[in-house]
Amino acid sequence: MHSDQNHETFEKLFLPVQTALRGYLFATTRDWTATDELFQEVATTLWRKFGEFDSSRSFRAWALGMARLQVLRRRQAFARSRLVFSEALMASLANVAGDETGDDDWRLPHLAACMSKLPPSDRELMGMRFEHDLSLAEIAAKVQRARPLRA
Amino acid sequence: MMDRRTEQLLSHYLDGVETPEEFALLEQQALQDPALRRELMRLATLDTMSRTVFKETAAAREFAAPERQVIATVPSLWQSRWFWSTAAAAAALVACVGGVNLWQARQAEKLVVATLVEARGKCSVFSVQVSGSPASGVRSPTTLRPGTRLSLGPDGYAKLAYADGTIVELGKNTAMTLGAGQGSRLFGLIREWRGKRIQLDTGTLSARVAKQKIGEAMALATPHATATVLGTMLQLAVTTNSSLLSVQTGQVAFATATQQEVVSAGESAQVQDGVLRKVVEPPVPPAAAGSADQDGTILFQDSFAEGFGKWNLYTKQSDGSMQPTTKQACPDIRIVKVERGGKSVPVAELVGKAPGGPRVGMVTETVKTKADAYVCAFEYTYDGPLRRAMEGLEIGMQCRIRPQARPAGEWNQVRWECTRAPDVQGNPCLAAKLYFNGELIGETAFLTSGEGVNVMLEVIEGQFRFANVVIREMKRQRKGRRL
Repeated sequence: MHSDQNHETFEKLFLPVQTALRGYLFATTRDWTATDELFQEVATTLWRKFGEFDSSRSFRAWALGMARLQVLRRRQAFARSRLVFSEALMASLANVAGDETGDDDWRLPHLAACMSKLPPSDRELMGMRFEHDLSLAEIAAKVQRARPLRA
Repeated sequence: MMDRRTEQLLSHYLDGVETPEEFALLEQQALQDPALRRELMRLATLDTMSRTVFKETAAAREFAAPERQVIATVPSLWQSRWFWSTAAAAAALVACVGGVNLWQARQAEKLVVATLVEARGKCSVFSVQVSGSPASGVRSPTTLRPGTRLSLGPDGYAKLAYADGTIVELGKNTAMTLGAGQGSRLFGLIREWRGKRIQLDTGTLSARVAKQKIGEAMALATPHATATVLGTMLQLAVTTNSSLLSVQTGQVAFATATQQEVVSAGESAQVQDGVLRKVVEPPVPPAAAGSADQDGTILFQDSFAEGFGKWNLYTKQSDGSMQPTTKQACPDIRIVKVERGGKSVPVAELVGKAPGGPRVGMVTETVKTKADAYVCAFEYTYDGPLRRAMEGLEIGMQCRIRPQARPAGEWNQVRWECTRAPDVQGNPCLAAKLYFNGELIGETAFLTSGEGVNVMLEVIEGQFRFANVVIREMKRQRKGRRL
């Protein structure tokens, strides 16, 4: 059983790498649902194995390594619906994400401000993509239904 | 820089519309090209962040909506097959959502969102409604659950604390409802109700928000806009037709249904009659009542109602030495003028008269800067001789910005960091840097006396004047206070 202090330490290490983890999971799966599910699995695994974490090492690299293993475990399932990178490339991408330093979160408010300045029609398109998780084909179908193209 | 073809490959891959040939080409190139791998990760992370922004904005919008209304009608659709199939699906969904809501409501009943740690003023008009049963004259600490509504009277003041250290203070005539969180994304399968939501209907609110998790930003919703907070110090004042947000540290996304602004430290934004705009010279909201004014035993206090008349005058020379300009009875209290660049600048050093207790004072310097004039009241906390605390080479201090000069009535963090070690005579600290909300605003020099410690603070920038100096004896266990 982890103590509250452990939990606190874990959160301090985990929070700054959340975005990188999600980024890696999305880069390898290209599926938001799978990304969310895998993220939960990775988070739970990291927490469960936190006692084994060597604090002299990079938590980020450790977390990305764990994410890579989780993706590999589910690789067969993803491969049924779309093309999936080789293990070698997945490992390389995990290294890229693991080598980055810093917290991406500070960019979020700026990104939000930029998005709020988009024309409503563009924001609506982005909302379909990022809020409702629609694929490009689904978005195209919606847009074409709403604004039929002239022959 | 990527060539157009490679950019297209990346785009097609991330959008899931690549051909098998494109996929094979991308994989082959990415295995050989580190820059391409970095670009792929950068784009994927950007997609992730965009999604976070949209999801959070949607969550905040949903929370801010005062009530859900069905505003569309679809005549004659009941005749269609589509209508009946959709209606059946909707009925199933409503039943399902209803069940979930009921479960969540029951969970919420069991769970504590925050704790009311302090309540003052006319408690008879301060009510807390929990599980449908209103109560008055609430004593603190009281645990608060989702849905709790707080109403404060004309002299009311309340302070809420969350488990992560987030503090929310409510001023007089404030009405708000505590919302339930959305649950932790860290362990999404376990609903922890850790998010923070507050609906501020009217009145004033000051918050010092601990850093929040991505996807669990604290939402402060008013009838006019929603402030989404990841970790900051802010004030929010709500009247019938306006909401004013002032941010001291960090950044807050402040959004109406159609507009959004990122409000940074030192900035304010206002929604007036439905229009959101940044405020250059912010109007002053009524400040929430202070939180610590009634704590501890006051050892020394000077409100400066009589001006600086009882303080002695010294002059600080260009070489740093101090020369008295007026000899008064108490040598520990002085006002100082500083000569700098051929310009005489009035500076006050204030040294507390606390018989048998610590002597604390400071030098302020009045110079013209871009900053607003404000008045600070410093509060020292200590346990035992001040000297002992000084050996830690760091002093916790709080500064209240004058409401008339700034839109804040909140305590700000002032920290001294010793830059010169104790001398051979054992004087604890000879010089220090002064940080205001994490920003270096000046340097200090310390003078010491035999009995206690006289502290001289020289603020290099900013226009400081004192409104009040209070020295009090505090208990050591007060969190966040170090001396």
